[in-house]
Amino acid sequence: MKPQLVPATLFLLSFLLSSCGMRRSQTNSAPINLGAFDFQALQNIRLDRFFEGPQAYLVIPNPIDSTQLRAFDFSQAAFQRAQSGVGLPGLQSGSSLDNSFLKVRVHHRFDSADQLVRPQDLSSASLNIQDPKYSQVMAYHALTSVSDYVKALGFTIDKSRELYVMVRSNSDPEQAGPTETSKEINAYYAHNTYQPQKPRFIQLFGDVAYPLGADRDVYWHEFGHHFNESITASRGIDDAGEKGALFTEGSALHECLADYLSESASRKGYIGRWAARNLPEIKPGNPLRSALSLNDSKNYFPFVSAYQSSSGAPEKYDVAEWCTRVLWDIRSQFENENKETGAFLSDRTVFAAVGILPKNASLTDFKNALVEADRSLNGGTHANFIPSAFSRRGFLGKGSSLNQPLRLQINPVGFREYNNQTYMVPANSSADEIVFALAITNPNSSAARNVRLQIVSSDPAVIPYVEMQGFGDLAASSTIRLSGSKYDDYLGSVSLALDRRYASGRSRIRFVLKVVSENAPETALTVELSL
Amino acid sequence: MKKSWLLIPILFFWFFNQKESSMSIRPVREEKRMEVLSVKATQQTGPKFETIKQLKTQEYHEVQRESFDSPLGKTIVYSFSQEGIPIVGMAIRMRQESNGTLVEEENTYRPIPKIPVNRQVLEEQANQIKETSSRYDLSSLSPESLVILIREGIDEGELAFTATSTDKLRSNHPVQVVVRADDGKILRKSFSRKEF
Repeated sequence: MKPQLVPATLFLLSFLLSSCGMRRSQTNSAPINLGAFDFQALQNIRLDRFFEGPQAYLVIPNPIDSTQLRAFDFSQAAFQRAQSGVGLPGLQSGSSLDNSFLKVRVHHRFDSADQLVRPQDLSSASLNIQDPKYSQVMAYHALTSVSDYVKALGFTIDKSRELYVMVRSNSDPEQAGPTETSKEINAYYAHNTYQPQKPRFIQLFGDVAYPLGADRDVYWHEFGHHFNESITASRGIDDAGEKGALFTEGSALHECLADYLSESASRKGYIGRWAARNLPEIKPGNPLRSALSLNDSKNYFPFVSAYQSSSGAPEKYDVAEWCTRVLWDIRSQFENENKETGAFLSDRTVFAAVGILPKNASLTDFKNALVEADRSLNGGTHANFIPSAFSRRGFLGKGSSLNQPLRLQINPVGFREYNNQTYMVPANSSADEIVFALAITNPNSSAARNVRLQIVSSDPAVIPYVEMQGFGDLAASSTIRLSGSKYDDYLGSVSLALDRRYASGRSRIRFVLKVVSENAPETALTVELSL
Repeated sequence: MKKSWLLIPILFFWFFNQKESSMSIRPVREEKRMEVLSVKATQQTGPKFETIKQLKTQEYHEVQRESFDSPLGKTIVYSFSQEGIPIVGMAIRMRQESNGTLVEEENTYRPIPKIPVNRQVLEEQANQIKETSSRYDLSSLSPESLVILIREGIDEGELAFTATSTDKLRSNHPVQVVVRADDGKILRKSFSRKEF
């Protein structure tokens, strides 16, 4: 090449390359928004590498799921061989496993010092899995690690109040009373929405052979509830459930997301094999719930979502399990696209979607929010895949549009508790609580989707307690029925009390009961009750 | 020179046919648009404002600000209290996209009148409620657990105690209750979430 032509050639080349590059970025791809995404931290958690802070020794995530204890050998020697070192970062107290946000206790907030693990006692505290001290160490490890996980995905956790974890809780964790032996085996998360001065609580109940407190899954699930409230800024995606509704799609979503966080962060695809050993109805070795498809009825939406005349509204944990299987399908697709980062990007998309859900969210809201989050974060790469993941598992969104409104018949019933006896009383202001015997009929030739009953009132003389109840999908020509003589018969009803103070001289109080579904016209019935 | 010029179309061809590396996380955009959530102001009972300073709050209402980040942006929540007593049912919630665009706003702030708080009276009321409670075990009720509850249709707040209790009608199920201070009326109930 002649020397004088070299600069001209280079100029032409650079021009071509730069203009082509511009065209590539404009037409061929959309950059993924990776703000605040900490890949290294996520990778460390995925590989169970926890370096920071004083070392403790735990069987991760629990003895059944530990890769070190494959043969189900729970002898002391095998147990100790299976323990691995984990760091407990951020400890700020010399007398308990605490930091500025997380406080680990045994029975209640005011446990005596001798019951609590001190940072210098970490080795001796983790010798015996039955010992509540072992559970305290697991609690601190589990909650700091899952907290780091969601932070590395780019989310803020609500730390405006402390989070107390009671690994063998008394029923009231605020009272420094005597230690109770709980007959119940369960784990609870209390958001304390209406008690702003109080901390949040995770309470584990049951002094059992397979302590719930020794299982990382349990903490990750309960933390999932707190995380749902954080990313929605406590908007109340299941406000009705928190107020006592037996079933809503929002309550199933809350459980689904709490399960999914644990299942995805642990990469196991199920939760609670250890905790389930305490439940005789679950075969040993089977999980409590699974995002991986099993040979059961939770794979297909119509099997879990229908109102049944025999059993009533759907079981929220069944709908939740179905929902985790949809999310696992989406996660698997992301992983197929990129083995390294796919699962993390999937989690980020899922939880970003949760952040834009409305109050009392439905599964249709969630599906749409996932598409929206994917559009913003991943350039809409999964705009077809996400809805198809739902439809492949039998979820068709709002369903076909129905012409006729559902029919509602009600009979108000009052209950009052007096001297430890419960009485059925007239539905007026003398009742502690007013509920409704009811019949909701679908006169259409197709199913009504996501049927709910709501109290609609801006009258301060009406105090709604359970403002909304969900009943699931109601088949064509079917009827939801609720009746009985005991208070428990009406746990599936909306409920309220009347407030004489704001009756302003009226002798009767009016409000509206509304039946809504996703595909039928609304039904509104005006109810009038005597004071 | 003629041979060198051949390099240009070769390089050009190579550039367009280069595959994305396997580690790339750059997706290919699909053209099809799906239904998405609409942007909405869910509730708007208070006045419009651009910043919290422009919202003229009553001087006796203290403002607390919390911010929650997400990869999609952030949600800012302003909550209110009077003399340290939290006001429940009155808040401002704003969701912004990453570029700062406001996409959702919920404002339930109301300039309600100041509520007189007499601690001695409250203590007596708390004791009376504890003694007369029947359905709910309110033995742990404390006069310190005060809130001001805002309800629809009432132009002022109601002073109420909050307590963790058990419900005798629900087989002693744990429940958190909001109890009106001056007559013990239950105004709100909420329940913990359980794992199974």
